[in-house]
Amino acid sequence: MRLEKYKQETWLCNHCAMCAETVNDESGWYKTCPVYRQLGFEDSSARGHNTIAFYLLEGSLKYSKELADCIYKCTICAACEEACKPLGNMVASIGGSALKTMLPSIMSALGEALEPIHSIDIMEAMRADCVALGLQPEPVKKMAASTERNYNPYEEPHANRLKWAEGLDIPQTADTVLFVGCTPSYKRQEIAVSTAKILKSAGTKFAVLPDEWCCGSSLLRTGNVDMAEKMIRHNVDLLKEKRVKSLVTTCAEGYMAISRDWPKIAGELPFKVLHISEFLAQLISAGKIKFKHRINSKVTYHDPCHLGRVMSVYEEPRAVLKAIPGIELVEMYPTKHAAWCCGAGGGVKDSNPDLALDIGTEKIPLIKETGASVLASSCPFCKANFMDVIDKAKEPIQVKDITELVAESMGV
Amino acid sequence: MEEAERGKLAKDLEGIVGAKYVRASDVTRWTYAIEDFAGSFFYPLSARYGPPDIVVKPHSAEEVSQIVKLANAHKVPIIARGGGSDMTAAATPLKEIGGMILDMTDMNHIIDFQEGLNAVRVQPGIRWGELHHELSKKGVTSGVRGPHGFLGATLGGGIGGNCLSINSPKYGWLNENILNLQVVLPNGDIIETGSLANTNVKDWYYRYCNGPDLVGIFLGAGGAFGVITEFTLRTYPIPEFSDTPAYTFPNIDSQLKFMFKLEWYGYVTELWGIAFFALHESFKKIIGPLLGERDIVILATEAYDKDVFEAQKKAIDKIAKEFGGKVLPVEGLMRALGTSIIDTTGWMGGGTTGKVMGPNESSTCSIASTLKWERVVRGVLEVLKKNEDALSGGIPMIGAEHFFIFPLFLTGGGAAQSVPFTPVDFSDPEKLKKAQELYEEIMEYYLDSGAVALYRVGKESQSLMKRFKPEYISFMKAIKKALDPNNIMNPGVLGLGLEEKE
Repeated sequence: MRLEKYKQETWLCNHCAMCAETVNDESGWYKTCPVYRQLGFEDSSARGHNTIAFYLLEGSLKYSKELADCIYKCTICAACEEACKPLGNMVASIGGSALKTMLPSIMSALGEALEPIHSIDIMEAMRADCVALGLQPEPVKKMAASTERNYNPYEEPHANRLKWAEGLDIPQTADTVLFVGCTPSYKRQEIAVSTAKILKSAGTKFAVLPDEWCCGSSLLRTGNVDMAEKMIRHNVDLLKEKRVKSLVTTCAEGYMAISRDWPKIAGELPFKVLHISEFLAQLISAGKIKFKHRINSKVTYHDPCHLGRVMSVYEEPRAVLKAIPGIELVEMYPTKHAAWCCGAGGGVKDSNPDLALDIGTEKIPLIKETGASVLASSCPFCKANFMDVIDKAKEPIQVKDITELVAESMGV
Repeated sequence: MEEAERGKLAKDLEGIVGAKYVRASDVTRWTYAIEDFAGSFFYPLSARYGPPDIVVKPHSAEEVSQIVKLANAHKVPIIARGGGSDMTAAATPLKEIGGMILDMTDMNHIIDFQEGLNAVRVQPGIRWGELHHELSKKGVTSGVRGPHGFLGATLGGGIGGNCLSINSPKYGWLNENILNLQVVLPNGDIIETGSLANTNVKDWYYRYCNGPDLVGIFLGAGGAFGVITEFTLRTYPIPEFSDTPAYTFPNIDSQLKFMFKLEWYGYVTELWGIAFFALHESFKKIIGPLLGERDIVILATEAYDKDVFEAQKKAIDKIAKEFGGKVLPVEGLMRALGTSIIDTTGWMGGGTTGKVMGPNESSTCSIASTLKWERVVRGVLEVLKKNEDALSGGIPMIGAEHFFIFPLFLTGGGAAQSVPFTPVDFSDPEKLKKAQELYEEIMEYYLDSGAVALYRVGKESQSLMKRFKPEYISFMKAIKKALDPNNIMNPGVLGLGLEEKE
């Protein structure tokens, strides 16, 4: 069992329930786990999942279809881990790395106390065990089977991966590569198109690769570890062969996978990785983005969980939005580290589509409270789910990726 | 419970609360087989505890009443559960008896708050963070701020488990702030106590009226006599001025006298002490060179008026000097961090508690007279040192193989808390067993000392029961029998309701 590795971790959870439902005005939390908010029983919270893991290791529980159905409802939004490291966050907010240099003995004494219980790793290990036993939900099996055949989870032919780029005249060799990802390539192509147009207009020399495969993130999140490794190794070999120096991705999930997961599997990456929001912020600072049109709208920004909580990219997307003439950026509450998940992550959009919609729908009152007419994000998964949510709720709210707003203002 | 019986019970429960709020699957049931873990690491593996037979989420007193009547008909025990962080297994089912968990977390609403009333009326499933959030919008506070590090804890759980709270030195324990209760009795009747016992009183909250104070028997009772479905809690204006001064003292005697006097005079809101002698060598090596071998006190003080606040701080300083105190300049640091010892609910939660303190036997959580605290702790240290081999590994903190520390939290009412925090190698069954024996020895020592009272009783009350006077036990059993003849209300809690098994 992959779960064996986390035996000590399951013992250290002190069951304080902050991962399930924290409200803390001082640290900006208003409720923690999106799935617990919907389902309400212990087995839908990280604390419950850790308890399941504990009893799997102890022997009272066995892997089963029922257990798999339960754990595949988690969106892997990592709010549980964020809430689980209040001391770590406090230290980080006063300059964690500086303190490590200034007060090495005290910081080393604090040791793992600054780390959360790694509930996501525990969850992913349980899912990997479920996959090994063939217990994962059918949509997850289908997604993996498609990825094995087509290198994307959507049953789309690999040959169509760059169909969105037709007529854009994008080279296939350059120091900088736009790693498009499966969702912008096949489902939310407007994000890929906007990004390419912005980069071209800003004078960035970049390439897209027809032999790009799935980044592996969805596979890793759903327990398909071996197949994820195959995808990751292919991509890394390809990028090495092309001698790529920097890689830009439009997808929050892909950015997390490439930055955090790829090195664990393929070793240190010989290229720099940037999320499009970071790259755009750099281009704006360098004066390479020329905005032509005002967008006179109140916009609120949804932090994608894997870009924000996991990768700590909070300010760059906001800087990009603030730079667009006419946009008034307004914040939801809770926001940033405590932002509510869109509901689509962790394979939930496939395995439990109604749950994904219910979680996303919960966010509508937060959006409306800001008075915003546009909900911006920087993740194609979040955009896709919110489009379904808003469509179902028939709310007059537009859902846009930050690249679309930038492109619109640039007039490209 | 047999599957057929479980199925029948589930169907009946669904008829009361709806199918969405009933769960009988193995996976769900096992997630209710554990409460606080760092505090009670023996229970999950103990032969005594196991999962419930079924879990149900009620939404009103009327639903609870129907569930209780159903439980009587099926002779199935009922265990009301809040945030699930009790340290004494109060809401964990006994393996041999099982039962039905009433997960109260959907009964989490504020029922009434009116300007001019010094009370808020709430349901028991409300969590501390939510209460603070809602009350602060109205410019008031509950005074007591809940248990350290457990923002997910519910107030109902705190009432049933006798919750010591942040700010207890000023505001008393949680249960001292309860005014009225609404309780579903074991026969399904719904009663209200205090001012609300009068049918004409709807929204005025007072405890000591209309005859005897019947609130008390339900507080700290772990649901043995009924299920609390509403309560009123005192509220206070939010103090405008607050600060976090700290001092060091030349010896434990001065430290304790200072703490005692501050609380007695009503100058402190929250107060912690660290006794140098009770620290493990690893900690002494860090603190010794910085502060000398002195004992530390850090406190929160607050007031509504600036002049009163300044005068109070001056008075505290004067008392500190009287006992040889030296200022420890943490005030500015705390202000810079935007925190105080009152905010510990936030930063002590999550992985922090488990990873810093490690699994510790918090069911030994106990209080002693502040002035006798040193004697009690020296006794426990002897027990720990004698059995130090049982306490190795487990926690990475400072790389210590063995350590124990007694933070001295003042708990109000002239009492101080004494908690051994110790690492145990839980991967080694032999060491785990030894650690359990060690904690039982500590518990026995506490109770033999005559200076200590366990304040969390729950289902780990065997040692305490042996010390109760027979008349007291008979009295409790008589109440139990009168109220709950079928023994369905959380059997095992307070040592009650197990007669048929004995």
